[in-house]
Amino acid sequence: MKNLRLKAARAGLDLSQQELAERVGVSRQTISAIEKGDYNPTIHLCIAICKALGKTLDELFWE
Amino acid sequence: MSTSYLWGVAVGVIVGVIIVALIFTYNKKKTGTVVGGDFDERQQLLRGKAFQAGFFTMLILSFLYWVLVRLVLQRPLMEDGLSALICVLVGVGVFGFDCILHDAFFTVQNKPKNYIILFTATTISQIPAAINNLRDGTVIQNGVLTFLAVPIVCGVLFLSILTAIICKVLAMRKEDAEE
Repeated sequence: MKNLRLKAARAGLDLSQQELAERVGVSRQTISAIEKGDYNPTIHLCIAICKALGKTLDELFWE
Repeated sequence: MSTSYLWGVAVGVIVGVIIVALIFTYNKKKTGTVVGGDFDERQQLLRGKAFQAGFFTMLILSFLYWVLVRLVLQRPLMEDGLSALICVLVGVGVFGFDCILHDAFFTVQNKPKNYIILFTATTISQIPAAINNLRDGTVIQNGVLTFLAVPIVCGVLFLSILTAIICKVLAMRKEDAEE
């Protein structure tokens, strides 16, 4: 399932996938895969993304 | 085996070891890791799956060759050890293609350009030996493929991986532009 909340939060900060990927230390393709719902990230990566976007786990990843 | 052949093998191995050591040293200095950066968690997962695919391809290919040679044809098609080497190379190829296809070939910090240069140089380095061996007509002797076919096999493998990398880089650029 697509993670549109992550995409919206990223776009809200005017960040590209590449910029977010650099902030959390992963490849751009990994961010793209998470947004498309093709990859289910570990809690470690979820937390890193939340910190980079200033959001909580509930706001970005809780269904 | 002639002395010149053994010298050729020895020089090839020494040059190979020196080049790999230089690349590892350069990567270690630049990124702190020998492969030129770290793979992220998704890439590590997919590389594990790709390794599995390559390993099982190698096993299945070895078994099929054994069945073909021992049970069906009942004569060797290649020199002893060459079939094992080709199975390993095909396994490596499957691992490489799987990684490239799933964006798990380049580390987070890696530049694909470096890989293109490396694989182009490696492919070109196989051409003189491959042409020489084909011209001598020593690649197949008495209906058996000899070890002199190794530069051709390696050349085909490196060229295939190089082509896959170039296609992937082009696809990545298109994705970047769309994003």
